[in-house]
Amino acid sequence: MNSDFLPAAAPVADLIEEFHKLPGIGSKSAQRLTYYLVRMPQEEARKLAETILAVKERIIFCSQCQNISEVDPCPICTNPERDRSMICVLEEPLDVLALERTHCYKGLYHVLHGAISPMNGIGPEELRLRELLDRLKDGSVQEVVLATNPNLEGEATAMYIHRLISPLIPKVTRLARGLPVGGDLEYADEVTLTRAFQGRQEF
Amino acid sequence: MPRPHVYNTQAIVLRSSPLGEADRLLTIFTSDLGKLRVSARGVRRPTSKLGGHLDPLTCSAITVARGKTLDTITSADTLKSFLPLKSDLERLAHGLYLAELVDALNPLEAPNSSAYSLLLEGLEGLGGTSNPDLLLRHLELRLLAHTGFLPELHSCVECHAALTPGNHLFSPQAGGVLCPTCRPLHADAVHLSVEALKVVRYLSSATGESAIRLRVPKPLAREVAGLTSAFLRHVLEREVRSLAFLRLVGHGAPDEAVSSASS
Repeated sequence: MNSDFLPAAAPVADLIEEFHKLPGIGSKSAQRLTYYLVRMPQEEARKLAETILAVKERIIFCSQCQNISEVDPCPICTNPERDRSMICVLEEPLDVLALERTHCYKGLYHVLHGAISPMNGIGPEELRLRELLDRLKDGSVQEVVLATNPNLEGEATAMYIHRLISPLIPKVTRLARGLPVGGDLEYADEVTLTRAFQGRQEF
Repeated sequence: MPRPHVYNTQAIVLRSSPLGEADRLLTIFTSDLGKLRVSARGVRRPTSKLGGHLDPLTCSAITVARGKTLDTITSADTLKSFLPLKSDLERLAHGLYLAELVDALNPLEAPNSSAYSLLLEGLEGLGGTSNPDLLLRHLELRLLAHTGFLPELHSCVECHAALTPGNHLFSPQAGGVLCPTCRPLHADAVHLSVEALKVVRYLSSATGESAIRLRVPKPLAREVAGLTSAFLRHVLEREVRSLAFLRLVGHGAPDEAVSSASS
């Protein structure tokens, strides 16, 4: 075999490069995915390409909750069964799915599309906060639940939003932080345990 | 410095970013090995036993296993969680700014135990002080000193002449104070008041405890803040990113004190 480096055909190399740009895909994975696609039947490859295009072309942001949706306003925002006096504020669209799976929340959502991260230069103006303030203006919302992640960035975001909206809203709450189901008390850190203790409830 | 296959150390998490499915890439500042970049596996899952011990601005005793490309944290136990700092938006912004500075001024794997102690005391102090801005100025200057960047504050940085009171300038480019004769050498030289020079000298040598007892009127505090931020911008060759957020949430916003500047 020729020991010289044999470059992949141009379309293959291009696809490898495109896959490499995706989160969590290294150069080996990119190559593996590309060669898998090369062997794939034509129709399946076409379907994949069309699905990717459909995501980009048919998905829009709901003008109310800012979640990704096919229609504006999204089905959750137009659902008459939903409690319009409550808004749950989340970092990412995936968090909406996580909360919807619980079937315990019947209010509306608001997706920020990120969290404040000063060290990475992400400030409040990068989040969809103005849209949230617009929704709170008419006074129909009685409670805002801050459900950002329980890490430093999520806490900073929650504290900032609280400062911003507490004059406008009668009740601003934060999701309880405490012990996870299936966890082990001895491994819990001090902050989690402190918060769990502060938020203890009567049996 | 070669590290053993598994090592124990004490570290403060400076920054954290998602990695893979549920992992995080952490930048940590250790007491004995300097700044390191390590991975923490599975910490984004709610049931992770490490997650809560490795949030940014947390000091933990950790065990690290050496890896081919990245070392991995295998155990972590919180030593200090700095809860007062994290429960207040303004103090938190100060803490994040300090962490970014420590990150930016220290190269990887360069041990700097005095900068570590400073960060530890700083995070503790910022959580309790009533004057976080002044304490932050002190921490900035001490950090510059511990990393070898402290500007010259006692004689002209060009001709080494002693300074005459009231007649000196500061140039970030030159790396310190200038006498009027040497002024033309540096275009970025700005006038520096005697009071501001005294405050900067004091803050750069005092302990944190005595630094926060200093009474500094607002216009003077603003002059000092302008000096340190201009100098940091010069050293880092960029703006400190957390500064925008600090200005946004801080009570000592620069525009507030305009009316009290009467001198």
